[in-house]
Formats: sequence, C-alpha cells, structure tokens
Amino acid sequence: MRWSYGAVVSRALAVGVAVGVLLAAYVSVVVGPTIDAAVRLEEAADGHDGEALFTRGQQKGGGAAASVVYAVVAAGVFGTVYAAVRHRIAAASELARASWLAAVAFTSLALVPALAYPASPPGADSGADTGSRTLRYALSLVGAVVVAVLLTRLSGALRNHLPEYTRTLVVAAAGVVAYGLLLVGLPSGPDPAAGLPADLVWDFRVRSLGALALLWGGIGLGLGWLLDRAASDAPSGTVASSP
Amino acid sequence: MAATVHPLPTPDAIRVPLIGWLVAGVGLLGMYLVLQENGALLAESWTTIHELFHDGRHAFGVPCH
Repeated sequence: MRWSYGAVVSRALAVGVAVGVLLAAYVSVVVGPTIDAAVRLEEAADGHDGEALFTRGQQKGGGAAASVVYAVVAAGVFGTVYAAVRHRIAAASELARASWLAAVAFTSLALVPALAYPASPPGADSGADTGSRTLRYALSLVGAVVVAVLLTRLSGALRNHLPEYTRTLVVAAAGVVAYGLLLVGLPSGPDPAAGLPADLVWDFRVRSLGALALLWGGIGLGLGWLLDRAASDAPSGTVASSP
Repeated sequence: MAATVHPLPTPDAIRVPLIGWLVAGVGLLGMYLVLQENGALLAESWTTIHELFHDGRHAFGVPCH
C-alpha cells in the first residue's frame, strides 16, 4: 500500500493523543507520589511555604497537560521521521518497522540521557547549576542521535559485504562500543540528587524511565498497528491520502 | 545459492513536504518551552510556564531545579 505523508502523520497525531492520556495517568498515579514525597522533604528542610507560584494541585494538572503536549509533539515528529525513513527499514510489517524506529528513539532520546544524567526529583539542589546541567543533558541527546545515525550508516555500508547475521552482530557490537564511549566521554557533573534518600531517588528514576518507555513504546506500537490495520482493510495498490 | 534467501520488504519512499518539517520544528520549539525552558534561552518571565509544567518536566527526566 502506498502512503501519503498526511495519512501517516494524521495517524501519528491520533496515536499521540491516546498515548498522551495514558502518559498523563501514569505520571499522576505512578510518578506523582515520588514527586510529592520529594516536595515534602524539600519543604520540611527549608520550611518555606506560601511563596509558591502554583499549588501542588495545579502543578499536578500542569504535569498532566505537559504529558499530553509532550506525547502529541513527539508523535507528530515521530510520524514525520517515520514517513521519511520508512522505505529504508526492511521489515515484514509496519508494526515491526515503527517499533524498530521507536526503539531507536527510546535509546537515543530517553535511555542514554537517563544513564548519563539520571532524572532527579524536585528539591534536589539549589538550582544554581540548572543551566549547565541542561547543556550536558542536551549534549547527551545530540550525541545519542548522532551515534544512532552513524550506526545506521554503518549497517547500510555493510549490507552488500557481509552475510545478514554477521552484519547484525557487527552493528550491535559497534553500537555497544559507540554508546559506551559516548557515556564515558560525556562531561560529568555532580549528581543533583545526592542529598536525597537513595530509595526515593531510585524509585523516582525507575518510574521516570518507565514514563519514557510508555511514551515511545506507545507511539511505535500504536502507529504501526494503525498503519497495518488500514493497509489490511484497503485493496492492494490503493493510495492512502490524508483524511 | 545466493545469500539472499528471503529479503524483508522495503516499501516505496514517502515524500515529506517542507511544510511537514517546518511544523515538526515548530512543535519541537513548543515542546522546549513546555519542558525545558528554565531561563537558559528566554527571560525570567517564563518562570510561570516553568513552574506550571514542573511535575511533567521532572517526570520526563529533563533537568530542573
């Protein structure tokens, strides 16, 4: 089945809305309690209250809104990139293709940054070095995307020179080395959560990574499923234009 | 026998119009404002946005105070 750009992106955006609602629920129910615990510790430590711009309830609503915005934008960009690179991914179905791209997105945009600079609950530091932490975080994102692109290039360059299984192993090994070098090479900084209870920080970090796994997993599986479903409903040779 | 046993299919390319990339770029900028902006790029007036989306930013692992 031939797809138009609009038909792919409109489905991606629909998936983004659905994943955004799921993500908002996850953030409220699963991540929320650890953020609350950290905020309580922060308030107990410096005793400031009443000067906050928003109440905790409003911030939770803001967190849910941010989840939906994040998921919709991520899904829209994912759909655009998917439309652009889809013809390069050899796979039996759209579900397999979209899942593969989602795995690349999760690794580059979530897993590597989280390993380099793990998420921190509120109140972890004074906020004095937020700027430099933001810069390092951005560097980890860019570095991980560059590694992913280089691995793709390597895989393509070896396609006609190595048997399929050997090529997969070589690219996987190159990936382990390249991501390892990236993690070692990224600038280190003080862990902003060093002063908080370790079990709280661990809980928070695992749940935060879970949110990103839900985001990218949901987008990849959702878009792949919708595209496969539309293709199986349509007679072969049809052109899917934007609805 | 050649090594190409059952090559997995690759579909036809989809042409992504320029407007698609532009919209994606604007979306990423909006996402930056929601998730990341903590005075690094814009002025202090964005503190309101920053505080409102506070929980989401922490949950998604974006650096924050």
